[in-house]
Amino acid sequence: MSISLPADEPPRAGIAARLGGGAGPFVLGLPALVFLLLLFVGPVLRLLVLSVEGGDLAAYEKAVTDGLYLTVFWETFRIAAIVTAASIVLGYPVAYWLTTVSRTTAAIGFACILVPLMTSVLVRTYAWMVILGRNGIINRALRDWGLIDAPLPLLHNLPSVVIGMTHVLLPMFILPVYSVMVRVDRELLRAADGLGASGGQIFARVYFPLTWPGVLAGGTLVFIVALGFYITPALLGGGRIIMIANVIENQVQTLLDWRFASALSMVLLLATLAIQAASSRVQAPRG
Amino acid sequence: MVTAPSRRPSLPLRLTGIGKRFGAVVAVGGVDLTVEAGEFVTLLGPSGSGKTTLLKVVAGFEAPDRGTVHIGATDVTRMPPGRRNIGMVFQNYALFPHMTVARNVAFPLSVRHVAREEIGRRVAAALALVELGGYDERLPAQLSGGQQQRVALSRAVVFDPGLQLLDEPFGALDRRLRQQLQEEVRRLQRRLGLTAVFVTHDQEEALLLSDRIAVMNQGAIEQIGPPHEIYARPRTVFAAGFIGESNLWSGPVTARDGADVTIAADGMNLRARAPAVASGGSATAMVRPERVRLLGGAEPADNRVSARVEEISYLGQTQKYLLAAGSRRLTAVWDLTAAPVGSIAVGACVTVGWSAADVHLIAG
Amino acid sequence: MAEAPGRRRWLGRALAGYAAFVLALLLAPLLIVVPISFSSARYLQFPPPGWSLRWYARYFADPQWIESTLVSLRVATGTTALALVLGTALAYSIVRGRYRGRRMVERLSTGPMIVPHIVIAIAIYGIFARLRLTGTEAGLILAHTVLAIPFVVSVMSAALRTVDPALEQAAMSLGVGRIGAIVRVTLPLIRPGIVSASILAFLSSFDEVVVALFLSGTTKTLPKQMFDNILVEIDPTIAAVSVLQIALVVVALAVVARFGARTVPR
Repeated sequence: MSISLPADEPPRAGIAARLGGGAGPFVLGLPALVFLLLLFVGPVLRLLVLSVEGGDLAAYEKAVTDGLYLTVFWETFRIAAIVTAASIVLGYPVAYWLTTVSRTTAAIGFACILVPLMTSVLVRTYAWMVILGRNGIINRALRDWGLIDAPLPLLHNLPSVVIGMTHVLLPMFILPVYSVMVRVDRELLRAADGLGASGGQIFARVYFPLTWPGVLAGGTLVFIVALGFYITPALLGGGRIIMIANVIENQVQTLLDWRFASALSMVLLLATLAIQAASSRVQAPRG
Repeated sequence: MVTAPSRRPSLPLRLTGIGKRFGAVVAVGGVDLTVEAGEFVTLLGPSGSGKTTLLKVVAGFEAPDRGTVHIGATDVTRMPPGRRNIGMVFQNYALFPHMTVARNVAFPLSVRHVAREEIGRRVAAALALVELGGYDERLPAQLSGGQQQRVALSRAVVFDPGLQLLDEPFGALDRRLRQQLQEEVRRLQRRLGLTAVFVTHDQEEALLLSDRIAVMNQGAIEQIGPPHEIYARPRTVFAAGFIGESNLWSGPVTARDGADVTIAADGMNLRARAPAVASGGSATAMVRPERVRLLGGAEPADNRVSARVEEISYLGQTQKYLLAAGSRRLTAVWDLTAAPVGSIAVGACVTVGWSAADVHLIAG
Repeated sequence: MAEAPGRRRWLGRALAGYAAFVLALLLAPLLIVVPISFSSARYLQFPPPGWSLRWYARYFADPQWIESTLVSLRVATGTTALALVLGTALAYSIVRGRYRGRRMVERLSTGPMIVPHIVIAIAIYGIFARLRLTGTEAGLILAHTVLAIPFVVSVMSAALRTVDPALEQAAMSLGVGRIGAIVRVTLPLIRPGIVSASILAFLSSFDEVVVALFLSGTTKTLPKQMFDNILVEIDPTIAAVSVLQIALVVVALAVVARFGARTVPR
């Protein structure tokens, strides 16, 4: 049996025509959309389903009432907060300095920021183990100079984890702050100067408010990425500093408790999204 | 002397009931338009009038919600832009910055798999047509704005399109270049016999170039006709106000006297020649500024007004006078070489008038 | 009254000093690894007692290291190709599209950057375990592509916004379809963005640990191999591997600086 097409049908008018019109761009995004739905949204939603398996919230109850996990959550937030604060203190002046120097100097500065940023977290964490370890560079030097007899326990504690994480996350703070700072109109600062404001006043009343959106964006990024950190606490914390991601990994790999791991994941995800949303709320009215 | 390359004939364009909305906004509401083969039609209107959307529907960049587009005998409504065989010229030239002039002009031919020798020949001819021979290997960035637009013009004709679309092609050019290019576009269009649809918000440009003008407002064509007709006999108040300057007064038609009627507008009784208008309705009277005459003391006129000169602006050979008669304002444009005009200064009192035949009535 | 210029200058120097200190802190750990990798000592020793290439030799001689490096190279290449195609098309859809829900699509595209990697890792692990995709390079490529898409989308969106849509319309009116217009006009114009996005996607996969910890199985990637080794003992082979990775980053950044799109506004 043969099928005849209507003669007046314009040639290849179907998809081609739609691609030419307004719907075309949507169609192009479709493969990636399906990909993300299948391999990102779907799997994460499946965790949500797993976490309430059995029809009760027992896993969540355990996550938010058991003292052990509460301590881990508290520790995770505390570390993320310290790392964020350290990034602000260390990064803000650097970002400002980069806006004041010549192109060549700035290029060198950016190299110092981008090379660590792009280097594997593992390599950077390993470097800190080499520096802070029992037989690491610092202990070695102190012993050689006769300042200590036994190695100092520099690794496997809170400061080492904070140092390692700050090293990893600092570049992520500097870049957004810098991109806001370069857009600040120098004329405004000169005008404030001309009006008789002191350096401190110019900073507090003009410069900081203008660059605050960058601090907020960079700080939020550092904080939420820090919340989910796994490698650095695993290696530099040495089992003594445990963050939520380490607990999740342990639940899946060792204890095979998918339900509880899923509940912890959902709590972590919720915290992350809430902070993200709160941050964009704060930012919005400032334009 | 370059001869026009032999080409396939241009095709007529027929739009039937074209409608297009974006969300709640009706961009084009049921437009019918026919452009004859070889005709130059301008879509003239302010921004938001739907002229650009209509052009995009013709080009195939927007699919209409309803209605059909025919080029020649072919229904192209659902056809992708590239298969419509339309030569389009864009406001910002849209030359491909990574291709040389020659490769830009060759683009429509190479995507049609034209043989290489023929491409070379036709590109050379198309560039010669816009007097840009020898610029083949330049990049667009190395050309002036006027040269870039000429390259764009030759790219839009090199493949013998059935129809040419021009989307405000002179918007980015300064006045002198604009005039040169306007002439060039018109010359090219006549010489190649192109069917052309031209979009602009510039009424002078429309009057200068078009065989017919379609005045667009709020997604509809208010009036379509040759420039002189649009100018002398606008059918709507919008068309009267948008094209050229005009003095407009509205009021009821109070009396008829032979071919003339009287309109009571703005405290005046205006006489207008309008054999077809019925008494009792209301109308808007339009008098073009150059129809307003300066009257001597006893000179008869159908309409007379005494007024004070408020403002004078110099336009070259003519001057524009802003006149006030009580609370009424009117504009007149007079030739400076006419005897008494030169001596009029701001603050002077003058008597002006116009004949009933110079009043154009718009019903409603 | 403006402040005395003397005080200004002092402040400026203090700032420069502080910035140099912080930047040195960022770079120093990476630099310290270099001499260690060339050390002749059997254990970590600083400064090294002598120089040798023994740790590099050991890396190149060890089939486990080499195999894991090859796995990572293959996975990163596959990820780059897949993420580039999917991400560029998605960026195009977001930048040029006018459909309803475009904002949602845009948010979804940045999702994998915001959701903690540990969550994505176990979520995908849970699915792939059932599909028998754990321990396969294909599984790693798919998972790494999820993580790489946001980088590609953000770089390519920025690049696409610099291309006048009228250029594509011109190409389409001159006789090609939308795909033809993209291939002939848009892509050549955003080549720097493609370079940057490819390198970002490649490095993001090549460096990735958390997902690999779950999905690797016996198909170890280089970071997974490193992670396992670090847990056991810190021998200088890892320093040698680290230096090779840092060198890769430096080369990649040099390529971006030469051929890529501006990653930092200036």
